[in-house]
Amino acid sequence: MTRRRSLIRRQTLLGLLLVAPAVLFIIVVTFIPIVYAITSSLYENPGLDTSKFVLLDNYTRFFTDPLAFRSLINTAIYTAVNLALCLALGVGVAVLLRTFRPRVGNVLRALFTMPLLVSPIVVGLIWRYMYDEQFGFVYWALSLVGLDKSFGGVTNPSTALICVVLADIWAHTPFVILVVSAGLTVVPEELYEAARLDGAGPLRILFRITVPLISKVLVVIILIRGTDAFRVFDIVFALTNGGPGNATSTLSTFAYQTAFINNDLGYGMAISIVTMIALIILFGPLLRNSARERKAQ
Amino acid sequence: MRKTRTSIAVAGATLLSLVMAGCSGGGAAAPAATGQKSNVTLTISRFSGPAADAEVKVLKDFTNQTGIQVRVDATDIAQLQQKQTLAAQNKTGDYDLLYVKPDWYPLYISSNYLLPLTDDLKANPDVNVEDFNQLAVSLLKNSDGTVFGLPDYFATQVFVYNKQVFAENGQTVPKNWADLLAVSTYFKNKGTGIALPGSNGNAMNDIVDQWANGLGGNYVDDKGKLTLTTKPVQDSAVYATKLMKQSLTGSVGWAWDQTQKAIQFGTAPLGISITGLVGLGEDPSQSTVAGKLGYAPVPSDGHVSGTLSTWNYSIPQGTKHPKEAFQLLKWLTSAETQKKDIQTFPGWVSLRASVNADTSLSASSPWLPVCNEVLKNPTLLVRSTSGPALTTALGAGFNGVFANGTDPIAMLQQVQTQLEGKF
Repeated sequence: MTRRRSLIRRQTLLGLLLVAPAVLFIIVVTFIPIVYAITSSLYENPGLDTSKFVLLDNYTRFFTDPLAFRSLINTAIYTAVNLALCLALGVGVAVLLRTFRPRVGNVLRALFTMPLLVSPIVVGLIWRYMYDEQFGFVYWALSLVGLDKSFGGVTNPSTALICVVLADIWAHTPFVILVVSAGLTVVPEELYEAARLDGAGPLRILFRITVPLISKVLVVIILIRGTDAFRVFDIVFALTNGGPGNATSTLSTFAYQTAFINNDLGYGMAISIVTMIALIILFGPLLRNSARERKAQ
Repeated sequence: MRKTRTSIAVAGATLLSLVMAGCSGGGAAAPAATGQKSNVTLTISRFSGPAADAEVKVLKDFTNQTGIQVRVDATDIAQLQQKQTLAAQNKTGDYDLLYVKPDWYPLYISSNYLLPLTDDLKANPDVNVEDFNQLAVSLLKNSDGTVFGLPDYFATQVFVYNKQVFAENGQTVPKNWADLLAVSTYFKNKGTGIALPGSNGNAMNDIVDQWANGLGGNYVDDKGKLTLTTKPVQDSAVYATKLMKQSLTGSVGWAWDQTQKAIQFGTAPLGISITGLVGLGEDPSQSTVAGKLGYAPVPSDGHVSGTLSTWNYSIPQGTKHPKEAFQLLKWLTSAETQKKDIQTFPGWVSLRASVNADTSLSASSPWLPVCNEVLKNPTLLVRSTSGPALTTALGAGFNGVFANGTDPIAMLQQVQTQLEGKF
């Protein structure tokens, strides 16, 4: 008995020893930067000779700064619209591609996923020229139907944010198409045949069979795309730099501008920490629930 | 026997090396012609783009002359200060020479990021600091007069117009605000207009600031206090708003590069561009109007002005090769190298009087006379640690005014209230 207990203890020790480097690595790359960011957010001019401990002043400033509030609202709108359109388009196209013959479906899927290979900063630059009122494709296409004069594009505060969202959707819907397509492969074809025999229409099949059966896939997509959209930086930075005025300023661009353009690193860090907390509040429960479901299974 | 063989081998090797040395061009002249050997590699941190590409070409001469290798770490201009700051804060010693904007100096000097150059400059009178524009040099000093950098490159705004289109339409080069508004309105009514950089950024800030300077004002006064609500600044902002209404459609969202493209593609018959980019308009492979463009100071109701937007070389604390770094700094900012810079990249403008006086350079860079005129009374960028916060707020403010059609004076008042405590 004692021998067995000692063997178990030795195995546990060995296990801990083997896991230790990975745990140490995670602590170093994940927690130390977060602790550094939190500490910096409590200082004015952190890291400089002139640094001063200000406790929560930078956080108080965030909640009284109109530009911070504007950036928060923009980020929320950006995330909601982006997620809704990405999901609708991604699921729609993936379901549609399933109805094609496999070879045609694969070719079309490959074509649709091409924007996914373009880096976000390049996506921003491409769309900056696409939206150009003199040289851009968008205005040229709209001029064919006489709508170019009424489209505000990225120079009108009321349309700029949606223009940036559209560029992001162009770049990231392919990700949703790919993941949903993979999820659809596990849905048995017999279910669709049975539903069709029972006289169910395409919409009924979509909402009663497809969506429930790929719900876990959709949760993962919402988590990944939602957090990505909430932290958006590159596309906004390259396409509008937060303009016109501050119409497309997001929390990430605002944090960057504050920390590295205005040299206000402490406040910039506080904005980043608020962004992180908002992400935990918005997407944390979703992450917990999806994990709980997996455990129950 | 073995001894004899060894002697023959040594003698043979010696003879062979003598023959090889003879074949290589001979004697003491060889290192001078091909460059001295050095184990030192210096790294420059600067912004990327055509000017950086030109510098890499010119730097080959330095390596040939000294044997010192130079690596250029060219970064996007938006990330440059962040990269330099992080390297300085962590004292990585990654860089031996930094390319620095004047408004970064207050932070860099107060944070002890830079090596003082005063002693090196005293020991090297051939640098001839007096030859530089003294206003530009004054921006690189601290309050006790210690010099922390030398000016290298200068960019300012230039009024560009298509001479052919102007002649066909009976238009003349505008001299003041009324002329500029009239000619812009004329072309706007014909379906084009003036190309202006109205996007969320520094470009329009600088144009308004230079107009205010021409009228005797500025964003800050001599004591460093914010003066956005003074008449010269307000008049200039109101004029900028009026002029933007006569701009080519899309100008509200344009940065300098898009403004320059509208000019060089012949879409805009007139515009306000910047010296670092105007060279593209004279390059036939990139321009449809090469040889047809004329250059003049930006029309103003006051005296001619332009932003003194300089880039300067400084040596960071923590460099492993301070001597060689100063040698490179001296070489890069010398009159000879700066002439080579202009020949390699026509958009380059020097801050050395002896270089700008060389009329032969104006043939390839026809905007140089405009720069010389601007340098007589340039507009200084706001030199304060809060300067970037001001330019960010004004950049977004002007862009918002142009896009929303709101009142520029109310915007200036708002920024004044928001930031006056920091100045």
